[in-house]
Amino acid sequence: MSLISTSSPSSKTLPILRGQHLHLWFDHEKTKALDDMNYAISENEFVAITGPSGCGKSSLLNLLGTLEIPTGGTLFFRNQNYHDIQDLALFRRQHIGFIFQSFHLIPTLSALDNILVPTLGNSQQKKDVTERALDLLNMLNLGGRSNHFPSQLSGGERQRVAIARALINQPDILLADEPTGSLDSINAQQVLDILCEIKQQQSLTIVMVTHDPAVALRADREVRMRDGKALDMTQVLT
Amino acid sequence: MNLIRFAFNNLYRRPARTILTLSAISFGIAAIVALTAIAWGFEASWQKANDARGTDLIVTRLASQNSMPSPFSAEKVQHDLLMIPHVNQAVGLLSEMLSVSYDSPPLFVFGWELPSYLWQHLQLLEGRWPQTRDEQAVMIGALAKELLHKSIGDTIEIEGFSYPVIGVFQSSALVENGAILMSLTQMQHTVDKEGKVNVLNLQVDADLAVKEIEQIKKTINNTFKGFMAITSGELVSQNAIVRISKAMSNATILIASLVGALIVFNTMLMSISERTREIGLLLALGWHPRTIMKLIISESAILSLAGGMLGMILGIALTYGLEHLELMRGKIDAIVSPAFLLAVLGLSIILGVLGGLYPALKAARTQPSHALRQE
Amino acid sequence: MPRYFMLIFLLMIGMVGSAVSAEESAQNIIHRILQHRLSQGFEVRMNIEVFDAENQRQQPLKVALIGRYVEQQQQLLIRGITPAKYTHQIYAAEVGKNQPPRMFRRYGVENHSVEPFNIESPLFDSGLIAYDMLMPWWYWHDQQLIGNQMVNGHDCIVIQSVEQPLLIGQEIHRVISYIDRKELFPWRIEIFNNEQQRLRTLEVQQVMRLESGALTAKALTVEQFNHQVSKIFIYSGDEHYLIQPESFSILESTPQEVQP
Repeated sequence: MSLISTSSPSSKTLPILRGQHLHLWFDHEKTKALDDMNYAISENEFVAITGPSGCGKSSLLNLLGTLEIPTGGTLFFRNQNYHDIQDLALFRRQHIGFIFQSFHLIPTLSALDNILVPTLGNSQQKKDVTERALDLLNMLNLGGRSNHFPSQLSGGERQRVAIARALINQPDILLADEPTGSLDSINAQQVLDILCEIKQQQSLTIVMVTHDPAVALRADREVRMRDGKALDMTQVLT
Repeated sequence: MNLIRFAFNNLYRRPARTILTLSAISFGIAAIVALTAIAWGFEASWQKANDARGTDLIVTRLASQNSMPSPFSAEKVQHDLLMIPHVNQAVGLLSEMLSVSYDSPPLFVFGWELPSYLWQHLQLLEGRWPQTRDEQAVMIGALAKELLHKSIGDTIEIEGFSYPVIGVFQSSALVENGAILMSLTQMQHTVDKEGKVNVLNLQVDADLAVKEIEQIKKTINNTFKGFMAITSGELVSQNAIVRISKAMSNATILIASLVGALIVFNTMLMSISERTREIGLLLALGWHPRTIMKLIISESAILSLAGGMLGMILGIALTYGLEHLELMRGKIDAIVSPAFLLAVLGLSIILGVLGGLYPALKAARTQPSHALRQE
Repeated sequence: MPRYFMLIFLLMIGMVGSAVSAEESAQNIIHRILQHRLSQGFEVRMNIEVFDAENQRQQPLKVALIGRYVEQQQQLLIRGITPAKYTHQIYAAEVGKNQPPRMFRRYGVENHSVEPFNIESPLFDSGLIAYDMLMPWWYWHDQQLIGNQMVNGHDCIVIQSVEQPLLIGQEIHRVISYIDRKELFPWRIEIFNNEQQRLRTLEVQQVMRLESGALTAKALTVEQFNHQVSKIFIYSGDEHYLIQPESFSILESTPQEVQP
């Protein structure tokens, strides 16, 4: 068991995400993805979670994103117990953005439409969201690419479209699962630059899973995991 | 970008499957449209024939569906019927479905009392009317003329007798247009039923209300043992062929609907199972499971609605084609009403929604974390 | 309430009365079958399709029958309608209790000559045979109930009729009839000769109900020993046909030439 400091240099307020004694078991206790995991992540913090594959980092990300329910333990979002959230879908839409290693863009939709996918089925003003999507495209240097399909975009561009999609609903937390895993080093650096930039601009909290120590260095803090637990705590200042 | 456009986009991703599903649904809908239009048209045609004759009540022998056809001696009954107040005419009719040549299907052969009001609604196209009830000659309807390839001067062999064709007539009723007509006396002689008729057609005072006709009907049913009186509308709805054709169209609606819903069901199930990861993604991106359901049901409704529209066009074309097919000539007078087409569209949407319901529920229950792990 | 019971009671008696009871003798059943057939006059028109052993269909023909079945005697007038070669071919046949079956043919439209005709011979090159329609075997002495059998879903009692000795020219020696237990209607009839060879099988596919409540055939097939199959379909009829005084006059005429 290890405890992570709740204070971080970049924030003096209450942690935005907090977990206590988290357990996540699969196959009737045969696989323990998380084993008494504790964490606290501050507002506007950029945390990298590292560790060998199978250490439970992706499981932690799924728990944070409410895609998975813990077998035991409690999660908090700004003092709200995840357990008390009535509408998980609504919670995800309001507070969480996801990006993935393999982008998961819909191949038959243009860049702009892909960004708008999370807004479908909502009663948001169509004009507003389209404007916001175009702003995001411009911000991410994809201004001329709005009508391009994923197959017409480079890997780096695709991940930027995915980032824009994650931001369209103005989340508080961005969860990134190996966001640079499919990119060459130049594009990877670019994506990391963008993440750092939007963290500042939009006062986002970013939790990024990676196995690459060089990538983890770009984060404010690295949490190393092994066998479903956080190993120790390293604070990296940028 | 909205949900419906996204649904269209998803269907467009698998064009071959979408086209296959569309054609399967459209064939089903086409069958429904064609058969129902034909069944209704058939009934309407009979109704028209009865209305055109100016007959108010029809008196026949009581008979069940499976009983021996029983013509009856007209004389006594006719006399007694004319004793009923307000009954002006009681005209005998003997009809049989007979094959008159080996290469054409059986036709109706009518024997009508001559002279009588029954002949008045016919329009003479060629030739002349029979002059006496004993004249050994037949008239043919405009359609029968085409079916039999006969014209004035030719002879037609009916039950071993050869009769010259002396005239061609046109009737507002398809049934009569496709028939051979002769005097009742000749018909009785031809089929060896001297003095017998199938039906007595009653004409009552022209100013009689429906209620009073109904009263006469009751009187006949109560006092003429073994006989029944029905209005011409009732005769049509009791006609075995009308009933069979309606039953067939109902069965087609049922089967085609079932098959249509199953096809939509199967297609949508296939579609969601290959999109599991994407559905997981949508859920991770904050989509509500309800929105997933809306999407899947929209897709299946679009499929079935498009299939329904295609099927309607196909069905109308099919009906038109059948009407003009040599073999079916004169047997079909289909009715396609806007209300019916609207109902068919409604039906196809219902099929889509029903067929898409389970796949939609299944998709909405997707576990996003599991789905995202799938490759 | 008592009236209601009475009705049920009467219905039960009615059912027992019409259906064949277990102990009923063959003679009794046959008597009732004959009662069911009684008619003061009827007419039917049939379409006959003949398929030879190779299942080749011959030109279909139409035949009209006029009949009078009274107690102890049955008469039948058979007339070809189409095709032309059969038109005006007229046969008359008569069977009865204690009298040998008789049949005559009238040929020639003009001179109306009449000659005897073998009642067991096929008519119009088809499976239509006057003997089978008149069923004179019901007048034979040797009648036995030989069992029960389902025929196309109908619960039937099986009656065997045997004739000994045979009349001159008679080939039919034994007949097995499958009679509907409730309706007293033969669904299947098998006809054998003296060598126990099956000559033909008649089987009824479709029936219609007469005004009397009895059943009559609407569609039947006749399969002969040479595998010729005739499909007979009744397309028109009249169960109250008015028999004219001259209807069966052929039977009264003196044949011009008697053949052995």
